[in-house]
Amino acid sequence: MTQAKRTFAQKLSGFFANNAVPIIFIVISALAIPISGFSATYLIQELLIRIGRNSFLILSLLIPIMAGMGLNFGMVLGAMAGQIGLIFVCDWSIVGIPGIVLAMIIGTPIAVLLGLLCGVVLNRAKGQEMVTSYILGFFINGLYQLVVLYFMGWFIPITDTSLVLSRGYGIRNAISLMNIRTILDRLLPLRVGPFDIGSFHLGYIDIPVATYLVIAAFCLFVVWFRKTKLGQDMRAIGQDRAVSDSAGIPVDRTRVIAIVISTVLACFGQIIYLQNMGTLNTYNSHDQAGMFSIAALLIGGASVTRAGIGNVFLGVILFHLMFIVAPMAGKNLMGQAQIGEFFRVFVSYGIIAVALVLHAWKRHNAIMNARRSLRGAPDKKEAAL
Amino acid sequence: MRSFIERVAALVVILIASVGLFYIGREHKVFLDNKTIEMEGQSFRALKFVRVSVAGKDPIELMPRDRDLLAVVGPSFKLKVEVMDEFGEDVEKTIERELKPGFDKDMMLSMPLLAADRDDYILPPPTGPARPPENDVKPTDELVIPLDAAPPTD
Amino acid sequence: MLKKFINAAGWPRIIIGLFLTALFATAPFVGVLVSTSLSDTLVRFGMNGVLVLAMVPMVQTGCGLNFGLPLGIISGLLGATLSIELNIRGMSGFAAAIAFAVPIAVILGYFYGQLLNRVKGGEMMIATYVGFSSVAFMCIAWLLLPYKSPTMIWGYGGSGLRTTISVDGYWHDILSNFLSLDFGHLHIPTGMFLFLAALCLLVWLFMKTKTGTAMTAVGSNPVFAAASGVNVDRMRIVSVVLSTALGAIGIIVYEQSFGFIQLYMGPFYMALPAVASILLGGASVNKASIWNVLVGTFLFQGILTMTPSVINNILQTDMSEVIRIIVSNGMILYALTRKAQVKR
Repeated sequence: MTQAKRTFAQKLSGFFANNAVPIIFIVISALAIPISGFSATYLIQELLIRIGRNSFLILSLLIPIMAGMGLNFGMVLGAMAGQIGLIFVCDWSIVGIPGIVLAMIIGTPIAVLLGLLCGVVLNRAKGQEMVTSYILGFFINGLYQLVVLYFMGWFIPITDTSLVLSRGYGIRNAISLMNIRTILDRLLPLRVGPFDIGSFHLGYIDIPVATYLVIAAFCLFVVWFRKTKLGQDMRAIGQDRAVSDSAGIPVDRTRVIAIVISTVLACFGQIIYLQNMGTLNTYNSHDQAGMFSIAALLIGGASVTRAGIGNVFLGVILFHLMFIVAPMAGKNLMGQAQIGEFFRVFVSYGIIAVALVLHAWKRHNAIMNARRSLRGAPDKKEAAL
Repeated sequence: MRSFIERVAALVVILIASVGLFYIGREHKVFLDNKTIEMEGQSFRALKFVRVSVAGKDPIELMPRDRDLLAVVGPSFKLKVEVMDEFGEDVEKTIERELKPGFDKDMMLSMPLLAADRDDYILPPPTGPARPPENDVKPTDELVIPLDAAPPTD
Repeated sequence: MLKKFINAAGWPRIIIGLFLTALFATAPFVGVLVSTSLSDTLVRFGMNGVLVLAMVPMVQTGCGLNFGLPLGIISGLLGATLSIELNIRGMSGFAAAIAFAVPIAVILGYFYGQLLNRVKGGEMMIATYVGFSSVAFMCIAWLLLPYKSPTMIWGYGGSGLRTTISVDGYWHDILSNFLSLDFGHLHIPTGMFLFLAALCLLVWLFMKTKTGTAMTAVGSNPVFAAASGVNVDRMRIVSVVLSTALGAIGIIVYEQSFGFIQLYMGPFYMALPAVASILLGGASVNKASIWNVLVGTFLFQGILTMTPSVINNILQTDMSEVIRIIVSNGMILYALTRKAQVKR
């Protein structure tokens, strides 16, 4: 009886320890929602939009984590590729679903090339993948700006003058994507409500069904991919690189493939994200995508070595709940919306820092334990003798 | 070898598909122009009143010297022009045409020429429209001042 | 002989050095005054030198590149704003800013060091985000801290500090103008150089002391250092504290020359140029010298000054920022990937 009780208590504390980050966020949100004074209808509608907008991008992070390469800060490379695709589609004024698909087709080869580059670079920096991919993002950002801000309209032809800066070359810093705005979201519209559950009232809620279907397809892909030979190899490499190598798995090649897949998916994700936003901020949309996706995944309870589909959706909901609520809560609490905004910036960065610290801490302890047990082993042998 | 052929085939399919997407997804800006126009030494007066319907959309009514703009998607569309009397009551003449801009982008249609049953009614689009104001763009490696969280300014 | 030189200097430095020389050589032909450009380079060199120097201790003990420099910068900002709040002007104001900043930096650095000791192997990424989140945290603090000085708070009865605060009338150029020399268009901020030289000398001397050599030993081989009785964790904390304190002094030197204190998101990206500079100077992820600091800062700031004026005159377009982004991050990437190769 007491035995069972203790294991339950242990389980409970283990559950809290393992899910500390999401639990903290649920508590923060639970406190901030009433303070913000937003209606349930508004919150649910906003969340549904944001889930559709961001999930694909965040899902693209899963595969490198599986291959033991940590959080792929290089996903911004894919986002840039997607944006280049969108710039061309905008210039050619291809509208609607064909526009989105064409942007993806243009973005894919660029994303594959950048992904290959990223994979090769990361193979030269094993053990430092995250910081390297992070800096690589900055580096490619420089090249991206070189191309978009100087080459486009100069020797990369851009016919639509409304996209180009008045000096004659370079793309403007904000491009209106009116032609493909919410095209995917409105492809299969569904409006539900209003509901009345007791005294609880919900108004009309629009659900972007097509976007959700695409995301669902992606989830199925991830589930399927885990079971393929390639997916198994990646998991093995994620577990132990040396062992996989001696088992005949081409480690470097598989790692490159993992990054390429992630980059291409991030490219698609960015296009889906931007078709919902309706405006392309040419010079910073991609950076924001990387940083918010990673923060959201970590808030969903993922770690640097373990992340699943569940983490993605929990993360998207909690992160964006905080994102919507924080400024209003800050305003109502402190009289300044700015405090709430800085708070959510602080939380986004802080959560990444905390997750990285927890991960490094665990790894550090594991190494120490391994050393201790190595030292301990001969003693046991002697004792046995 | 076989996988090479397969890859090339896949590439070709994707290329064809993208050309197809370009073809069916291309948006054309159509300017409808009802101004007096000189052509081959002849002068064609602006129509008193004309009602134009493009691609089955709600008709647009043009007075003399009017110019209107609408967007059409796809490689071809139907054009229906009703030339009316000056009070806009009776239809004097109805012209129906099918236009095929195909891969081309924008075009301008001259109503007086169309009413005269000429085939050169498709003109190049006017150039130099007013451009929206812009901010100067500077390269930056600044990741985020996330969304709307810029610090206060003076 | 040539090969030896190439090996000693390393390809990146040679390429960048040649590039810089080419820029200086072409400058007169495109109507850029070499003397003014050189003055600008020297001023920027003095401004940024201490911030780059702040990299050295942490690299030496194997804590990696100090992407957490914003933490030191924040201490410096606190010191600077406190000095202005107390209305201390002139050289004593500058000294007061440093005097306030260093203790804060030591305390923050101590905890930061404790943290980094628990995450060995993952320092750089964590340092980056510790830096970012501390900057974001301070954004809230700048709004809430009870500063009163009218030069610093919002004019129209708002609360919180301004985004940029002028140090004019307090300690603007107090170091730069000390013993400064002018030869025509060439301006040499002697005082700033003397200050930088003094700090470099101090760090160099410190590295020669018993503690200093122990720190270097920790950096080159922690296991061996531990075996020979060095307290590895303690040495690492000393280095982080030192780096943070130097970062705090560095930003104050920067501000006295720049003329403004930049709050809020200002310190956000200040680590990257400093990291790039020291790597450009020939440091690697786990080895750095004073020499690397001086060479790297000069080359990096030289390129930053020269590319806008020269390239813009040639191409009639401002590509300098893009070049800066590519060069600085390319340098960091080069260093990160090179380290792994040596290991193998």
